[in-house]
Amino acid sequence: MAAKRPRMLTLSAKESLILELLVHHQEMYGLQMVAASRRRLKRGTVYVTLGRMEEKGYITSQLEDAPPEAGGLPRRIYEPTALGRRVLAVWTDAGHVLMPELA
Amino acid sequence: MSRPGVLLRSLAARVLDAQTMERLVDPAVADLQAEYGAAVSEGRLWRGEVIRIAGYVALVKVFAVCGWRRAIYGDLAWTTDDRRALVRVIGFSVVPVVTITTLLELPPLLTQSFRSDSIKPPMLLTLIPQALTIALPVGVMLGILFGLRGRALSRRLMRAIMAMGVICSAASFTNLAWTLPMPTRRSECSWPRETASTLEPSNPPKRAQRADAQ
Repeated sequence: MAAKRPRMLTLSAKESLILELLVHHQEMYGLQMVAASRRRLKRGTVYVTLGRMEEKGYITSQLEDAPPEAGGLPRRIYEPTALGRRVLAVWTDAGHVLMPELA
Repeated sequence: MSRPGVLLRSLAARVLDAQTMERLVDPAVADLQAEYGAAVSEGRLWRGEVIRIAGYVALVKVFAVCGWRRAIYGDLAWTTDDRRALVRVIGFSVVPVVTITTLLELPPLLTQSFRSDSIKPPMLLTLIPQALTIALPVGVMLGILFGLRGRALSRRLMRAIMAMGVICSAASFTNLAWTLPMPTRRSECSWPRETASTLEPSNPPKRAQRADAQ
């Protein structure tokens, strides 16, 4: 049987932005990222992007211990993984090598 | 105080799987509730309502993306039995549709091909919509009956078969209402006059009328 091809690691512009925010702030909620992104991230798509990044292994998430108010759903807080940090670093370096004028 | 997003979340839970709820919908609802609660507790009621509406729009967007992904990748989750049953139904539908269409086209062909050399293959295409009016509903019905005979129906397969039935009904209606009149008119113009006149017993051929007059 042929060996399975390794998965290509890709990083879209939104994923890159989210990783930058998470690396800078260590951990954030979805809405905090929307607020911190200066409208580059949207409420409706940030959770889908976060879900995809979790599947890729770039970020990890956990539920908040206790809801801030009784009856509310526990919030999910996100943080970058070691793989996510490495991918962001390589991606940024590659960008600098390919386009030094933007560095 | 009513918490925003509870109703939308319960509706989504009926359609979406547990992982999608946990990863996409619940974080969106939790953030919406937290932001709304903070605004209301600070006494900014209007701000709270704005947050509620923006949160609902965001949730609808999340549902739309989930629905789109499901439509694209949903077939990957189909079991082999379901897929086989669907292929059987489609196959068992196509065979009678083609057979009935051919059978319905045969009488005019057999009757006229010996009498007239001017019947061209494109003219035969004008007969297909008329035959499909009968062949499509009968063929799909036979396909569903024989394709699913003796099989246990999963909910997913039942939804797919129902969707197939609805699409075929819509296609049949479209054919009957809009497609059929156009080729019928064209066939009236393009089929040989003798052919058309001999098909109608009430209009005897002109040659015969002239002979009677003489």
